[in-house]
Amino acid sequence: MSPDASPPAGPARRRPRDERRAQAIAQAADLLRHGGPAALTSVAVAERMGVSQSAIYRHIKNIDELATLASKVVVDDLISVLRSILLAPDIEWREDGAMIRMCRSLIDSMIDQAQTFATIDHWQNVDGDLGVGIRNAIESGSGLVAIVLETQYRQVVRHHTAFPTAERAAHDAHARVLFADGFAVARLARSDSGIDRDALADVLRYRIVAGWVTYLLDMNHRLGLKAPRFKFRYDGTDD
Amino acid sequence: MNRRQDVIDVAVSLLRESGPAVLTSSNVATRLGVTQPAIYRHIRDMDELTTLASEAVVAELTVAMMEALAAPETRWGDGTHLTQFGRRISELIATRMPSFEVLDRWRFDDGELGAGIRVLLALGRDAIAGVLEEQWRRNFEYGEPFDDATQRAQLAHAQLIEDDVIIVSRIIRESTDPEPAGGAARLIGLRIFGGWYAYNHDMTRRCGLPTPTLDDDTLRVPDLSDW
Repeated sequence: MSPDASPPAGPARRRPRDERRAQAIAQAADLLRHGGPAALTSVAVAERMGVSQSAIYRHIKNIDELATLASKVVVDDLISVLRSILLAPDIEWREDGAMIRMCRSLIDSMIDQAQTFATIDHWQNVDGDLGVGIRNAIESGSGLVAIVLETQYRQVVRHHTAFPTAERAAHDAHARVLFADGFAVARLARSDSGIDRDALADVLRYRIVAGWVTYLLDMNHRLGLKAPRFKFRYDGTDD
Repeated sequence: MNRRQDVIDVAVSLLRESGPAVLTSSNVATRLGVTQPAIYRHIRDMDELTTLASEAVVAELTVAMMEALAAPETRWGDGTHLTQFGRRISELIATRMPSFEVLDRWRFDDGELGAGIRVLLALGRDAIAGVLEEQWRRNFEYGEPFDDATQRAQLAHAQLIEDDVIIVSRIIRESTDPEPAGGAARLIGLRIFGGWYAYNHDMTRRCGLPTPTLDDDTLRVPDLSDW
C-alpha cells in the first residue's frame, strides 16, 4: 500500500520535506548498521534515495549532521539491546549457566551489530555533536554496568549504606573499564583473529568474572570489610 | 642540518609533552623560531606531520611498555610482584600521559596513522602474550605445545590486557581528581591481576589442569594495602 492510499490517521501527517529528511536519516542509519562509518557517504545516501548527491543537502545541513543523527539511531538501538541483556529481570547471576548464556548473547550482539560497535569505536574521539553523542552513549552504557555491579554487590555483601565519594569514584571507574572491556571483546569478535564464537564467549566470561572478583576485592578493602570468599557457581568453578 | 627532521623532532616533543591538541603549525613554527608558512617547505601538510610524529610517539610508548613487561624480577602469580608491576605501569601512564592520548585518539583512524598505530599495538599484544605464556608455563611446569585455538585465545587475553591499560590511561586523563578513580596504580594493578586471573582460568581449562584458586601460588591476590 502506498503511503498516499489512505487518509492519515492519528497525528497530522508529516510534510514531505520532513519525510525526506527522515528518509535520509533512516538510510544513513542503515548504511552505518551494515557498513560502519566508512559506508556513510553522501553519495551512498543519495543513491539509496534515488536523488542526486547535492539534492540530499536540501534535507540535511551537512554530512556531519547526518552522521550525528544516524549514529544516534543505531547507537540507541544497541544500548537498548545491551540494557535488555544486562538488566534482564529473570537473570539469576549465581545460577549455573546464567553467566554462560549471558556471554553468548553478548557475543551474538557483538557479531550481529559489529558495525555499530565499530561506529562507536571510530567516532568516540571526534569533535562536535557527533563525538558528544557517542560519548554520551558510552556513558549511559557504563551507567548500566554500574547499576548491575552495585546491585549485585549490595546483595552479596549486604552493604546498605551509600558509597563515600572515593569509593563511588572507584566503583564508577570499574564500571567504565568493564564496559570498555566489552568493546575490546567486540573488536576481537569482528577482527580476523580467527577465534570462534564459543571460545570468545569463554574469554568474555572469564573476563567478567575476573572483573567482578577485582571489583569485590577493591570495594571490600576500601569499605573495611573482610576479603570476600568466592563461591562461584555461575563460573563453573568454585574458588 | 636536516630541517625536515628538525620539524618532525619538534612535533614529536610537542606531542610527547602535551598531546594532540598542541600539535599546530604555529606551535611548531614558534619552537623552531621560523614563520608558520616556512615549515611547509619541509613537510607537505599538517596531516603528514601529525602522522609522522604520532607514530614516533606511539613507537616510543610501545618500547617503554615492553621494557616494563620485560623487567627481570617479574613473577606473575605471586601477589607482591604484581603489585610492583601495577605500580610500574601506572608510572608509565603518569609520565607518558600525552603519548597515551595520541594512541587513544588515533588507533581507530582509517588512514596510514591508524594502521601504523595498530601495527605497534599488535607488537605490544604479542609481547604481553609472550610474558603470559612464559609465566604461566613456569608456574604450571607445562611443556606441551599449545594448539591453534589455545594460541588464539592467548592472543585475545593479551589484547584485552593491553586494552585495559589504554582504558585506564583514559580514565586517569579525563579525571579532575588528584587521585583519579581512587588511585591509578591500584586500578591498573587490579585490572592486570584480573586479566591474569581470566587467562589462568581459560588456560588451565584448555590444558586440562585443575582450576587455580586465589590461595594458590600462581594466582595470589595482591596486597591491596600496598596500593
